[in-house]
Amino acid sequence: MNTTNRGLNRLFILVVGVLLLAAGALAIAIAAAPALASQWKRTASDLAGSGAPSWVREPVMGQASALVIGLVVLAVVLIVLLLVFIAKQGHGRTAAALEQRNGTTVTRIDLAIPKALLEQHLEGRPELAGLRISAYEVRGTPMLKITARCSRGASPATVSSAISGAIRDLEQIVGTDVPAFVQLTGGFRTGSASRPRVA
Amino acid sequence: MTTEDRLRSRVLRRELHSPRSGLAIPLALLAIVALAWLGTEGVLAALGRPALLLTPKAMGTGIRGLPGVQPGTLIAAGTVLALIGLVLVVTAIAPGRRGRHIIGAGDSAVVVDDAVIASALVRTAATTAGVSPDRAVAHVGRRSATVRVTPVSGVPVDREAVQRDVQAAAEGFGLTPAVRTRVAIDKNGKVGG
Repeated sequence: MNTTNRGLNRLFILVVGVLLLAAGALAIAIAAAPALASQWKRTASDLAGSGAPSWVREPVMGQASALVIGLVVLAVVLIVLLLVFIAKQGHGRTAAALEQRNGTTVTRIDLAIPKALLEQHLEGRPELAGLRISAYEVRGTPMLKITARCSRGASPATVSSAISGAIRDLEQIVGTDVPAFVQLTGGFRTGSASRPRVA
Repeated sequence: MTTEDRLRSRVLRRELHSPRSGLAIPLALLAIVALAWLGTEGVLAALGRPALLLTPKAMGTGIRGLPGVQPGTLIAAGTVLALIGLVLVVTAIAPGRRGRHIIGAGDSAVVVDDAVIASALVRTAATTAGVSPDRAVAHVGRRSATVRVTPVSGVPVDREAVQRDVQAAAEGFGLTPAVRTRVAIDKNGKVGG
């Protein structure tokens, strides 16, 4: 429900993976292929001697060459980008659960109202061990997130239809569609020998 | 497709798959530490101050001298790096499904954790078999579920009946993807329960 950029997460993991894979493959290749090793040695001695371009050899700032300065700048830029990347994870919660646009006016209903109504409606059901209600903004539209903890052995179909009924009632009360996402959790301790594997 | 349908399918798709934040964030933190170290060494070298661990010059010498390292060490280190890289690449590409199912059809967006399905199937199986729910365990996968019942010693359990009821219960939940059930009755019962 949150606004985490999952494509970016995967892209970042992929890039780091490919870099590590390439570094590992290079190390193995240098050890296993003598031709590559001797080529590496030749290039290295060229660079160590006078073959290196002046921007690698000559200090431009203090005692650092342009190569070192460039790497420092690159490191700083990447650090900032990575901090932004981390900070962007998991946002999207909102205080307004519903939004109704009527021409030029927009009516926003606070989360507290649907929360109270749903909790009251579902109160006292033995299938429900707990209820957590929050709201997220998905693609600009507020959406309720209802997490229901089912008690042991409860039929998910029963719980699901009870919550759907509660949402329908809520829709009647507020007079508009209530986009909602429902997650049924719990049901643990299904046996003493082994718990169901949850991947 | 209406806006609400689009919202629904987007949320369902996201809730059924892992966001990969749990891996991406620690990886980003490690990368930040490594880059900060690299940057610090560069600045220290520019100021002519002693390095923390390695001067940029020493790093360059190390990279140039790679062929001089013992081949065994190089291969071992390379293999470890490549394996970690491979795991990351696979993780980045694999779907990363969570153990959840969509429940019910129509306009609602409801998902149920596999543990809840397992718990409900155990309840059904235990009721039909006449044993305590503690004597049955269920494992729910994406398309199949297995329920294992340990009977009470000396009291036979009708496997067919349990199988029928469990399958009916699973079908009654209206799961997507649908789950095929299999019931196994332990050969050795337990006393009591």
